[in-house]
Amino acid sequence: MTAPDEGLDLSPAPVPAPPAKRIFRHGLIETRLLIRNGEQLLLALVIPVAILVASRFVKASLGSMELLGPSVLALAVWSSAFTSTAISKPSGVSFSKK
Amino acid sequence: MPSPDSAVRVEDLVVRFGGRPVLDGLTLQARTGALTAVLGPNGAGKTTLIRCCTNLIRPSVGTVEVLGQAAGSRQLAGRIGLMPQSAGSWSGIKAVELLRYLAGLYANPLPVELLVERLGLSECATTSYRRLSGGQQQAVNLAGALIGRPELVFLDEPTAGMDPHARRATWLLLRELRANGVTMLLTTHAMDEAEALADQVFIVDRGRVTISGTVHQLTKSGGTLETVFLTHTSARATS
Repeated sequence: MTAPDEGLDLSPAPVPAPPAKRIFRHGLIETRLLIRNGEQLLLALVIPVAILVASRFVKASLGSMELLGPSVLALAVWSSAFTSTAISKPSGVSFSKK
Repeated sequence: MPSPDSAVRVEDLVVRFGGRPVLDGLTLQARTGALTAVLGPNGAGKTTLIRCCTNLIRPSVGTVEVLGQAAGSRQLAGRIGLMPQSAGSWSGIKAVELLRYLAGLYANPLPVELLVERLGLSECATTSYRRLSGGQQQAVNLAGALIGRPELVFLDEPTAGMDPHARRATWLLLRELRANGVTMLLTTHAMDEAEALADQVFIVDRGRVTISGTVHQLTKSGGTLETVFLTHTSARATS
């Protein structure tokens, strides 16, 4: 740590940012971290996109795009909400799988 | 009788975990603009007190008033800073990245670069939070508590794990915050820390305040603060 800095104004000025800005900042950091983590990226983006691409070639077994599109979107949401969250678990929580 | 200049007013606070009282009628007041230290053995209820004040725990019985509002009130949003004993963070997030994110949640945050430099985090700014040493994580946690320029900061053992240089620099920063009108309530096991910083000391044992006063008042009979602590606390507080 260094000596007191004249540029650091420590007086209280607690004003939350507007809600839209806070939501944007949160979304931005979540997206950055997701892109940086290969496992999360695989679950939330690569696998859903791969299923959509594959559906063009195996239409008969995977069903029509009207059904497949929302299903894949739901898969991506579930992956992000559950598995992806588990992968990106906060550090300092009980154990590290690595 | 509550004092009008109390930033924190806690009265007859009772918290039970599994039927066992952790706070057992705790009463204290922290003066606005002052640094109040809460001392106590492990499991005495210091962290639980902070959690009640920041609405992370709802007490079974008692009153908690923070900056004139009930704990957890919407009016308090953003006005309080909290440095917990241990804080988690996203896996893989870098120290400076975390602080920039936190700064983005406020309209008038402290400048991240200046704060990072001040807390000696420049060299590890791009290190992943989880790979920082314990003392460096503490410094990031402290920065996170201060970055929104709060009126009141709760510091739960802020210098635990820090080396003597970092400890002294943190003390200097806390003194500057007080000089700028920031109210602080800190818990610590370090008697020298309380002696060096505190305007008011509360010694807590088994969920109650056993003695309080300024360091001078507590030690005027000739003992040290540690002697007073040992006299007014039990050897084994259950947690």
